Amino acid sequence: MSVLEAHGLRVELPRGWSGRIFRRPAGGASLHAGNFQLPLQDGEFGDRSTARMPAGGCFVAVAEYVAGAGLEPGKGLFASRRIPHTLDPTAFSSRGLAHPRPGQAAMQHFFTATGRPFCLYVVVSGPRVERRRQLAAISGVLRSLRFSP
Amino acid sequence: MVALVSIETVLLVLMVVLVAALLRSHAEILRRLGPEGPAPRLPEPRLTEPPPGLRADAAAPEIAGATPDGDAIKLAFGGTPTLLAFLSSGCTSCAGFWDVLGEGRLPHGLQSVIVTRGPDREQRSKLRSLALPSVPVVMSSPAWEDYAVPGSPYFVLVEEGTVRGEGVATTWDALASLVGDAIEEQRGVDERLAAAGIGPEHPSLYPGAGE
Repeated sequence: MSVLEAHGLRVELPRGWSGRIFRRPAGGASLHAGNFQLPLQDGEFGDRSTARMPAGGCFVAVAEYVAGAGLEPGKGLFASRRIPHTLDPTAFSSRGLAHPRPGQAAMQHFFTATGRPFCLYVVVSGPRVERRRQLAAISGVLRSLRFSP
Repeated sequence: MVALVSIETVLLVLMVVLVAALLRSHAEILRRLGPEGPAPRLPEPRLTEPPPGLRADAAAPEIAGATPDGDAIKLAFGGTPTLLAFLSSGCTSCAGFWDVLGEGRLPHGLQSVIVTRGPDREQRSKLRSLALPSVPVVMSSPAWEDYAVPGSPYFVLVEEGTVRGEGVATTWDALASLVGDAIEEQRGVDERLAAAGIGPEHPSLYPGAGE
């Protein structure tokens, strides 16, 4: 188990998972994690990472939005104050994909933590029979996630 | 007679003083030229055998650390071949590699990552001034221990979670040779397996599967 901590985010990743916590200039913090080798550079919602996902792959992104211009933490789309630790398999569909690809399904959840607005974006690939194992692994990662102002 | 002896004595003393002065002058010249013992020899470009702690085809340890920009990163090694360049900011033999690794001269499909010691041994600002945006830098002292790095510069090629090759290279040519050897060796293994009728999905490659 490795701990990644930066920019007010902290997560524990199991063996075999790769990940990063980064922030671009004038942008919010982002977390990427996956049970496969992530590319070394990528966009906030893992365009390159999800393009490389093997069957049975899991990808998690937590992307922070910058408040302002009508976006208020804790209100509207970001009203939720919690991040789901146990993911609902029925919440996954191809409609949730930011970058649609065959064999992949995704879910999105917007929330506010410690006054910071975030989007949780989870992508899984492969057959449905693998979904339970994938979501259990993702839940373990999400439970370890901590936020600070 | 006494006068003659006195003159000889004075001349002898003068000669002793002169010889002593010459010896001292000679010693001072030697001291300024350098320390005693043989002159230090600069290391020649070479490849070495892997250190005993980590052999080719050993499992490639995962790497976790910080970047000079304050990001956090964990690398696990799957199908994308990755060249780990263990460099130091203060090492003169490393100097050329900071730039050359970002020039895209490595074989297509091979990505490179620079691994330095952690923030306790390296300055983030110095690394930021050396690193190119195209080559990620991970600061991790534990990685140097996990890969048994004897010193910098040191290079390790990993793929599919295993070490394909490693060694010292102080010039670009030596590094290219190191990478080429590792790739050729793996290609040879793949060809021998293919000649034996064993392909990527062959059951013998996955012992225990289906049990």
